[in-house]
Amino acid sequence: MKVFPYLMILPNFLIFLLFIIIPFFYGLRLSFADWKGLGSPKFIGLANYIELMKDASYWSSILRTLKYAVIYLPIAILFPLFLAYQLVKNSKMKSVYRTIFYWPSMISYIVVGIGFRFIFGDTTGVVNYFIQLLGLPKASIMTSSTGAFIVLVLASLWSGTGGSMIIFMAGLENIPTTYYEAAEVDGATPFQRFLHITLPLLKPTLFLILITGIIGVFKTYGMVSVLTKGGPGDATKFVVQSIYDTAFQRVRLGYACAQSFALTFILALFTIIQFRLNNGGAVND
Amino acid sequence: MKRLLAIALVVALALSCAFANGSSESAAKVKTLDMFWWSDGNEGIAMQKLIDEYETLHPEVHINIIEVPFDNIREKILMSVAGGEAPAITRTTEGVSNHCYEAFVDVSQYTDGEALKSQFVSSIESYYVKNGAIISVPSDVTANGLIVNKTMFDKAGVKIPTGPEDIWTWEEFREALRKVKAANGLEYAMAIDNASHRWSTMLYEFGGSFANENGGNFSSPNSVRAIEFTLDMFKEGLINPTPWITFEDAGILFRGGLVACQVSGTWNLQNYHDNIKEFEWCATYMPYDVQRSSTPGGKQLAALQGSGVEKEAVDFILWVTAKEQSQRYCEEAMFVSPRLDCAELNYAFCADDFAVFANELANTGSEGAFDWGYPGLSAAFGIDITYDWPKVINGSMTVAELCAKIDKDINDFMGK
Amino acid sequence: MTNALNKKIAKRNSISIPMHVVLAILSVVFLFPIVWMFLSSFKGYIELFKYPPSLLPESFAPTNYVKAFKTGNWFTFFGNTTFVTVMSTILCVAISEMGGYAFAKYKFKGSNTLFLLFIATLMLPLEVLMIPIFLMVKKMGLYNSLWGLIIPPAATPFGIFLIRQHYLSIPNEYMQSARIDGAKEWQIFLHIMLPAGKSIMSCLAIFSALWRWNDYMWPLLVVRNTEKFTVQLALATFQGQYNVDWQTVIAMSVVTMVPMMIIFVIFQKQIINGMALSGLKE
Repeated sequence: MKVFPYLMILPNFLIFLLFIIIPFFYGLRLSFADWKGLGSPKFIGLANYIELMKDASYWSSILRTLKYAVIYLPIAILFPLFLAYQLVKNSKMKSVYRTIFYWPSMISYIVVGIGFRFIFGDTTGVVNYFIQLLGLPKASIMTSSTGAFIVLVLASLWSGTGGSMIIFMAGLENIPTTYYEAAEVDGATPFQRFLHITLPLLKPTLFLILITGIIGVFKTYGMVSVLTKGGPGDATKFVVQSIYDTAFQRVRLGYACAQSFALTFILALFTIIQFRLNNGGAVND
Repeated sequence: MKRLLAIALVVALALSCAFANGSSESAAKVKTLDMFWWSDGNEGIAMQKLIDEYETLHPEVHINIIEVPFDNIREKILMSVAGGEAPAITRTTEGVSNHCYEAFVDVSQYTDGEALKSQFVSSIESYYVKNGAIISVPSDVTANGLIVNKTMFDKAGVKIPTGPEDIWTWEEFREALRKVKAANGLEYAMAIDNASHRWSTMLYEFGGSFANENGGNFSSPNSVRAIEFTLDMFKEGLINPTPWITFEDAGILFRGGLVACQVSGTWNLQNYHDNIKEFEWCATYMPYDVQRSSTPGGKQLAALQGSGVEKEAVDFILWVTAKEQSQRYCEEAMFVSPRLDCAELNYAFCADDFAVFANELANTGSEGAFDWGYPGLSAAFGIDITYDWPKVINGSMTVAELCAKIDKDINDFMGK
Repeated sequence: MTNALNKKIAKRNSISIPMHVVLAILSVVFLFPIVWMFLSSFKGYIELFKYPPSLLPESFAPTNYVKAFKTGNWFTFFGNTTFVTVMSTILCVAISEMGGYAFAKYKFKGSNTLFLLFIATLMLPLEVLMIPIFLMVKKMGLYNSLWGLIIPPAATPFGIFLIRQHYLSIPNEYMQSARIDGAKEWQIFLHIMLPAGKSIMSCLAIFSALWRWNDYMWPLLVVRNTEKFTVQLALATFQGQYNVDWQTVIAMSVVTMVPMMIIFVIFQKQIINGMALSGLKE
């Protein structure tokens, strides 16, 4: 039955091959060219990659993204885990809570961006109105780097929590209750239970959320492009937006390809290290 | 499961092929001209009326409007061209043309180019003539200018210029804004739409510019004066920084009565006419320093190479931009016509405001035409100026650094 | 098991009172933007941007909705989007289930490399590869066809990853005992493992549905004619160069989010039941 697993991955593989892998090689070729999107590309060897090495604004956008990842990811993992941990318990209210926390993640990032711009807008935003109602002076929210950054984190959390939450819930529901009963008999505290039973058995799920979370953060583009458009200044201009600008605002498609493959390379490195460290996210026996 | 899936895939592919074939065959007799389009107001309706008329005159031609989100029109054009699916016609702006003009048909292959050019106002020539080729035909022009909240200016006792002879200097205008701000208890007195195209009008009035034939001009004394004057107005709290920093629509501030004036352009007139009921407003003359200026902009129609119906596309474009059609289109959509023979149009409202903008355009030098019309140039500095001006406002970048960076962008691009 | 222990477990397994308070406050915070969007969708042009803002609109007349529905053929757009969402989700769940299961339960030559390759496709910023992807879409005859929105995005590395991680946590013993009983691999998959994947499949279905419903990039790439527009693409065309028709945008945003929200409320029970019935819990 050696052929069975190959057959099982075939449909996916075909689609990836046609719509991602082949375009990727096409793009890889372009990364060695100067191309404005029209006419034939002019091949210039390694010039794009040499320019990339010295491109301060590219590397600062990578650093900015990294900073965002370091701040956002821990919250984006722990908060949904906390909610999921509560919401797999018994309560009449749990389906109401689940619905409320999940709803925002069903809304398109465009709509989330528009909504948060309205709510947190400096001049006419309702949040600033609440601040004034409390007798405080109007705050610079979207116009300050920190403020815009916080709004972005809030908007991402608001729209991202539900998804991670239900994945965690599925993971938690899979942990056989017998383990908990055994722990109860041994007199383990709730924290010990969480540390010694829940966490190890949840490892595949945590690994999934971590890896897709890192990749997701590094590919943050859609919502930012509506919410802050990278501003103020370039405080929230992350790497994919700067690549997109290179491609379609500065119209340097070859160089943009080089920039995206550098990003992919960095992400792949991260992921492979994670895989090695975590044994592919499998439960340790 | 697997077999089901395989069948589904095959059926899907077969169906999609059937779809793809079906659409191309029906176009045998009537030539279909696809046209990429986006709308800001009701111009799509005005255009459709003209198309209907054209189709009656030319039953062998069918023009099919394809709506494209403006933010992605460049990507759409580049993809379509690369895939051999170029539309016959696209609506374009000078910014879009700067990127895509190599895919556009040179109209002068089909008609007398010099005669065509002579029909349009000269200040926008660089927007549709690239390297000697006429890559599009102007359908309307926009002019940047000043829109003021008359009620607020009246309250402060500040007189608004009534004609080109009593225009403010920028110094006088700054003083006027101080009064208006105080009299109306405003947080800020003015808003400028954006830090690139809209602000450039101010740059030209101070005698500066982004670039000229010799390369970057942003560090020239006049450019620096314009930057510093603007920066002082930000620091004093006269200009609201949010539109530049958070890309908020400055029109929101003006309509909401949060600022007393807005540096914007002709495209707002209809919108403000329809929506502003709480106060009186009007367009007036931009202040000047060493000279008066506006910044022209506008839309053009371009035919694309490789559509197979280039001739028909150019014929339609020439028809729809001719005198009679241009007049109807611009009157209905409330645009300024780029045609010299359509200088006087009968607008349903705001006629005085249009006259002000027309006068601004007539008193505009060539700086804007160079900055925004030089092929590909605006892409080289447009992004940086947009993202760096906010840094200058919040103090994380100095004026000298900004000037050096923009000049470097431009010189690198122009190979100077 | 003693009675006291049972009680203790029951207590552990229900949400405590202080936690209820925390969750209730969080719920209000989470609901606020949705409520605010909903209320704003009834506001007039000036009202939308006035300061101080008012929470409630001056009237609940559906002026914006009526206006929005007049501006485009929204019934077609919703029809297209629904068709794409349903078809693509079915395809996505089916092929991800197959692939993810194979990666989790079989060690075959190149399995690790292939899996990493799949995950690597998640790391490419596809926006930049738009032109090459477009060329492939065209070559496959999917240009300007709704199938172009269904087939290519149905293969998601995330889906395979999600399913794989799920099956990693299911012990191999079930398969081994079935093999001893003489079951074929496909029988094991269909009769034992597929039912055990119900919960995670409904989870993926929800994800896939909302990705397709809210997708913008693929419609931008694939769709040409207005009659093939999806809702998100139509929404984007409301934002012109100078003017954004905010009233229409907000009204239609509400209209686009409501069906998804209702679907979740309806299927919430199934999803939860699906989880409870995974069949592998003691």
